Amino acid sequence: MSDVAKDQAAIAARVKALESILIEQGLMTTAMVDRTAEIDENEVGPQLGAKVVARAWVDPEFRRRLLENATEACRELGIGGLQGENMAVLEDTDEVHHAIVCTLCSCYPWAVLGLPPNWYKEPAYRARMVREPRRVLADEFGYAVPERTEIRVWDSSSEMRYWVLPRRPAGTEGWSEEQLAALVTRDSMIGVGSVRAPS
Amino acid sequence: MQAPPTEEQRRAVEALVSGAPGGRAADRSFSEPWEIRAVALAVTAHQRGCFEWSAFQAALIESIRDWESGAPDPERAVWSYYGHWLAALERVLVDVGDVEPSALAQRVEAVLATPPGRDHQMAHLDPVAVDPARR
Repeated sequence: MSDVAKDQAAIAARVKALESILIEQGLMTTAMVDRTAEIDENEVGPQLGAKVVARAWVDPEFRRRLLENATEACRELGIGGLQGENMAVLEDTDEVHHAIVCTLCSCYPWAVLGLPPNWYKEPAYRARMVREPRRVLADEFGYAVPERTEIRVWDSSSEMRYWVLPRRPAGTEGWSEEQLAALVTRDSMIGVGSVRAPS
Repeated sequence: MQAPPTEEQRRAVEALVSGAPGGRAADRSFSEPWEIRAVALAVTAHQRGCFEWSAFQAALIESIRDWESGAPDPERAVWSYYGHWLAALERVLVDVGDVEPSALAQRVEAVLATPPGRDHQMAHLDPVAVDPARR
């Protein structure tokens, strides 16, 4: 670990320790802190990931670098962070669709996607996505992946955090990167939704 | 799952956070998850009646002022708005008697001694599940 990463780990431990003491004393509950944190989380949001996706759509050379080494390519755009290390981007095609889970905890490429949504951390999502991904996508997320498209589910760990490069929607030829980035949703980068052009 | 925050809760948090002193706007964006947690902890503790927001603000101002007027110390040379935020939060919680400094130090050691993710350090290089195409 670099010194900076070590400092960040130490200070993160400090916050965690403080929180556990306050909860132990009955001064607050985890749910209360979660609720307040949720309000601030919007600020980190998935807009960084959306920026990367839009760049990959308009710049084939960047796309190649992104798929080869996502961590380095994101760094080109000034995006990274403690948990952004060892990222891998999976490219959706007509043949293959990718989705990510973390089957043990909830490792998540938060440097590009913001903090994980609550459902991502729930055991039900993780377990069912591994067992019957096509059905979960259709039932829970209203995302019907065509039968002729294979679905691959990837397990993120702290050593390798996956996220998805969704397909660029038709009808967006000639759009600017900013316009394209505005279309990209967090769900599409987790692999539980597609990117749609406004009709 | 709990219901999303109401508009009223949202406004209350924003009023507190945006009214906190110090830091240029650009420094306020979050770059690590602990920063968000630290903000949420301060807001929650205040809303639960642990301390007055003005006391927290005063502690934050003091922490930043100390840093600005301090001798150049490589250990503390890096500006971290939320580092000051956390220092101020610890300070007020100690002042009101909710947190004992030695207990906090012990707890930090305990957290650091717990391996992150335990057996989850390996990279998983193949898909964990595949639903084949039907063509």
